Amino acid sequence: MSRTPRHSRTMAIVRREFLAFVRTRWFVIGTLFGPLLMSTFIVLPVFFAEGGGERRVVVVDATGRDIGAAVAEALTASGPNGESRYRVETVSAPAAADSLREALRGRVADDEIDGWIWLPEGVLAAEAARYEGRHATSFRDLRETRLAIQRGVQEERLRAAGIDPGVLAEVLGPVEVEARGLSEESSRGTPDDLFMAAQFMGLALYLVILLYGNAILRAVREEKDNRVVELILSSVAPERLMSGKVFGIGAAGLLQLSAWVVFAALAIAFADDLAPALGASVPQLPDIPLAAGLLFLLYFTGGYFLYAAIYAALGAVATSSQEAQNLQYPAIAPLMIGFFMVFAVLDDPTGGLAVVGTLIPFTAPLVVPVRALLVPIPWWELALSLALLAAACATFLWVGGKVYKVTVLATGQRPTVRQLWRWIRAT
Amino acid sequence: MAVHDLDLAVPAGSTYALLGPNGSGKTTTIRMILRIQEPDEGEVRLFGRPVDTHALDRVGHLPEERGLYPRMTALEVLVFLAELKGIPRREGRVRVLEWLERVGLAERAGDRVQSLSKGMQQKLQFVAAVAHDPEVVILDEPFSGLDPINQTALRDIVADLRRQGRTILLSTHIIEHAERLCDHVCILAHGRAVAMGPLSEVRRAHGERVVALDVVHWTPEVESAVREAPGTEVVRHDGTAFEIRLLHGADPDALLRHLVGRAVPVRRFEVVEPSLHQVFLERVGALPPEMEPIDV
Repeated sequence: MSRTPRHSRTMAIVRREFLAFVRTRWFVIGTLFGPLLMSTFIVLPVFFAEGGGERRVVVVDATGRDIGAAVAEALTASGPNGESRYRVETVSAPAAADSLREALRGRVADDEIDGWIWLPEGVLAAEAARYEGRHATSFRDLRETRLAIQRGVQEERLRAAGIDPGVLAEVLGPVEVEARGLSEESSRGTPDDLFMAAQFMGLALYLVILLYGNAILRAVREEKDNRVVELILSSVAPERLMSGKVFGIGAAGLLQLSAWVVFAALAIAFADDLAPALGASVPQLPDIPLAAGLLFLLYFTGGYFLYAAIYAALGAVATSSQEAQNLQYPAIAPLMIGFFMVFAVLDDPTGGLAVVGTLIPFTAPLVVPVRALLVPIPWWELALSLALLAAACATFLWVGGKVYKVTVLATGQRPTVRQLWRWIRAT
Repeated sequence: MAVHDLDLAVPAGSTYALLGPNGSGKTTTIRMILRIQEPDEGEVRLFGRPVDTHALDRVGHLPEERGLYPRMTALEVLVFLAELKGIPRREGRVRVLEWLERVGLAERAGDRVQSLSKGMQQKLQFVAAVAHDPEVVILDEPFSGLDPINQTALRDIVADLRRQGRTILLSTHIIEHAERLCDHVCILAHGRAVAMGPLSEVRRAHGERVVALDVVHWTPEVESAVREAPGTEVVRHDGTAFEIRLLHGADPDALLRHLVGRAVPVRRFEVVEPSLHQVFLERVGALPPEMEPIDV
């Protein structure tokens, strides 16, 4: 009888794993809404902070020097495009301050106003101004109010000192800074944008490796829990089954990442049309060179294989899914260390910790792409890092395959590390 | 250690029973044949060669631990398993559909495995063992969990495979299955083979034969004549029926001549081969509870 060649059977396993994974609800939802979810993490806090609607504020001026008007002007001039959300009413403080305060309190209660700013007589001499009202705990409201009061008071102080506030504003005007790496190929953008992009990349790598490692764990467990594994192993060798799994789920991961990249590209392409419609400003994206993108893919692949092998071995060793979940924490500790290293790298991309993180295979998949975005990495560091990562991948896939082979059929007592070592040496 | 010093030779074309109680080493033996587990010592040969993946392509396996991917359809999972044995997808599809027809599951081909009943899943598992047309079929406790109707259906298919000249290795703890379906047997107890070979030889070599004797009418003389026959022992007596054990090397002809010489009115004289039951009792001692005879 004609039999198909052996590699096509590995392909059969790869295809099965791929399809089984791609058909899950989790995958479909993750692919369609993953980017949305991730951008929500970044956009939502900003959105919440920006939100809040109109504010009706009364400025009570007890200084007798018209500072109230300046504060009111500063408030109504705040906000993007000069559209302020503040409706301001200015009153002079009467002699009977308490009755005015009562009246204002009543107006807040009747929802006529949201609050009031009280500028005491000694505000120029560092007596505290007060804001009382509904939104006294809102970070944004306080920030804007404080800025407006500061401006009003400072202008008055400048006038008192004989300085033209317009001249001073010109002198203290902001200076734009653009960051640029030392070589031609390095990334360009403002420091803030690059920092954001690098942070986002670190987070994405960490999440994706974690998610797909877990997917491998689940796939191994499912086979063990369903007892399918014995039947499969009477046809193919365990190492083959494991590599088929790792490749199949990896292919699904690559598909998902590609979909995300396409979504991102579309979003960027149509950002100019979309953003105003959503009431947002177009974000300035840093210019990321191709080399950094390639490194990202390379290190994602390496990191995936390294952690996939660990997860597959864990799934085989554990006697129950519950136990597998618990066992994964020590295994992902290096990945978490890598994630924390990313922040150190953002701070000092050429420092000692950055170099160490580049060379350790467990942290390199997170550290190197982030570093590459910020500074050019010396070629010898890159070469050594890649070689070490490749060696670690090969070792862990090999050891993982062995562990998988000797434990995947075991039920009951979980083997000790010593037993595992003996078994691995025996096979 | 689950199995010791086992020297098992399964002749091509035979239907071989691995008989023994739970924990006697049947599944371990099968796993070693299939290279799922490595023996500490010794070797396993299939088709006259050390086992490799090419040899495994020619073997079908129904594991004791049943299980299929629950979220795949019956057809998908079976085509996939045939693919692992080297059957191209298209051809696998045709064969699987034929087999599903044969076991009465053609209409459920597109249903997910998890939506099928336990009995149906068992049948799928059996199809997985045979769809790639293997020369050797290894069935580990194939009848456990099947209702009587499905047991009969499966027995018929096994009988078919046997007629087609395939080698069948069947593990069971049910003596009657080994006795009815197989021509060879290996009795395992505590990981050791206590008897093995062609069924009739095992019976002859290990059990003592029994003569079932019926007489026309009972008299004290008849009874004493029966009891005085040399080299025999009456194990059961009920009216005109006797069960006589032939002690070591005793000849049934001599017994018959003795009875006729003493004018015993013989109505029935039958030499009964010992059952595997007796062989087992003799070689292992008491039957473990799960091997008590059942009606099959």
